[in-house]
Amino acid sequence: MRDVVVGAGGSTQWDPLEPAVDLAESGLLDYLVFHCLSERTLALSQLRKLADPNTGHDERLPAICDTFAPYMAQGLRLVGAFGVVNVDRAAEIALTQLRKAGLEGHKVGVVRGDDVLDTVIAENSELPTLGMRVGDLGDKLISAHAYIGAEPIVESLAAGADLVLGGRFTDAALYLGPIAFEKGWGPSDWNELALGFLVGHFLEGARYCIGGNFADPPYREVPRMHEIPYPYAVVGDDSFELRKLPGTGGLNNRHTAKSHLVYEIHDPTKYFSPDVTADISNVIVEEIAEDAVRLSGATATGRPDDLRVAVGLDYGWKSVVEGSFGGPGCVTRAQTTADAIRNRLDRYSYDFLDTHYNLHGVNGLFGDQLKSDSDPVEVRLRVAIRCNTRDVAELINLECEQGIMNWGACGGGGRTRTVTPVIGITSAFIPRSKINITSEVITI
Amino acid sequence: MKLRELALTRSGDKENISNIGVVPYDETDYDLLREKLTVDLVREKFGPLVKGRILRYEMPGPKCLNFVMHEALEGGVSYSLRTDPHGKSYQSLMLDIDIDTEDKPPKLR
Repeated sequence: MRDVVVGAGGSTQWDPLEPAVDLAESGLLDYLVFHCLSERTLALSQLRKLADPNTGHDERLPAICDTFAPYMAQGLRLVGAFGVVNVDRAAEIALTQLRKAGLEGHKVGVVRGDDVLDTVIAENSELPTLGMRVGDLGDKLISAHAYIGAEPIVESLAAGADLVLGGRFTDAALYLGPIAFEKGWGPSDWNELALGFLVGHFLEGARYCIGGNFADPPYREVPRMHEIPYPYAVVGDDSFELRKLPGTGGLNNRHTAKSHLVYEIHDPTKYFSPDVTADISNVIVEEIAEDAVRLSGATATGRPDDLRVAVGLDYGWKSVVEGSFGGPGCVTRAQTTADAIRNRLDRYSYDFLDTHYNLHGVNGLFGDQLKSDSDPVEVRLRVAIRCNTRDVAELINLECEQGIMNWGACGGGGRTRTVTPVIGITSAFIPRSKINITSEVITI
Repeated sequence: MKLRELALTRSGDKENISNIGVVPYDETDYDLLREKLTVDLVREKFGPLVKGRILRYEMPGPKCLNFVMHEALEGGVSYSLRTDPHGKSYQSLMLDIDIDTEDKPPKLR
């Protein structure tokens, strides 16, 4: 079977498009894949959609269509979770933009069915982490989206889609779909699916697997960190090559590859996804050329019966206020101010769900687990409080700012403050048979 | 010797669970880390930051270890009040762990 070449279009909705354009321009790719969702994105997008039914999709979609239409005209296919929580709106935009760009006769695949809010309500699904059921949430329930697999992507591509879009695809499925389609793998070709899943595990991290989040000088140096590109994979039948374009920044060797192999995994012998439960504990990582790594050895024997569902909850409002203190005694002054703010805020504590006081430079990241022998020359006080109501969050936000700038210890400056809605995400698990995923292919 | 001399680490998050993969620079140090880098050592380093269980998995192919720390992010990225709700920085705390290498000197990198 011929090699399939898939490239990363980014790993979040905020990633720039230029490195993806570089990949498209190289002419090497069969597929360019956009992974645009994080745990929170769905619920936040759901809130946007509730306020305005024309939103909730990946807002970059018009630009993505315009930018990549010329490459699609030459045969490049795109796959992405562009729909987020509004697949219909994303489909409209894609059809309109691609028609404008002159791609009449091309096809758009639209995958629906990941929104399972009605199902989890009807099933009163269990929420194991919270120790409760969906019915216990009342009006706190915002959204529920099933992590869906590669099969509807394969179906869309088989029906001729040049662009496939949907919502909560599992990150790796976005890559596994086109690979499985091109290779002709079936839904029980377990070791092959594990290989395609492993490709997705790497590429969905985009810069993370070729030198991003890696440098720790002098132990680990990454050349031209400001020019780390997006990676691509040349997928064979039992291994794949992780690559980056020649002349780009970043680093691609056995250490960067292994650092990403272990990223966000739990039991490496049971890495769950909708398509395959993969065993990556025996993956072989080989440096085969400068800036090219070969990976092989992922295996599988099945897939889970149930699909994971990301349930979004209204978790109140978060107030965060920060301000800096410097020079002799700065830690004491910041701590004194924190204590005073705590006393001042006590009157609002009936509305508090969680509080977090810390001093950046002392205990911001690791609590008291790492101690310094000497005082820092400056510290930054941070007061984060989650409230039930927006009103109290706004009130205490101002009180904290006043504490730092006005009535606290001397020399507090450079304050910043924010109040934001909080969306909690927790998991439910529902049987596949309860989820109706559809794919529709529309000619432009 | 600090773990930083021997290995690189990377942390990731899923809900309220933080994982830290440990990759020895030299594969021949894998057995040393299997013996010395215990769950107890990690528990001691992270203390009250990790409220749930800590599990260690071995990956004999790539010669890496993976630590999975439950209830480690004060709720997880969606609503944690931590400065670093993802626990991205946990990988660096891990590297501060002291590894007793007196009886087994590791190879120079």
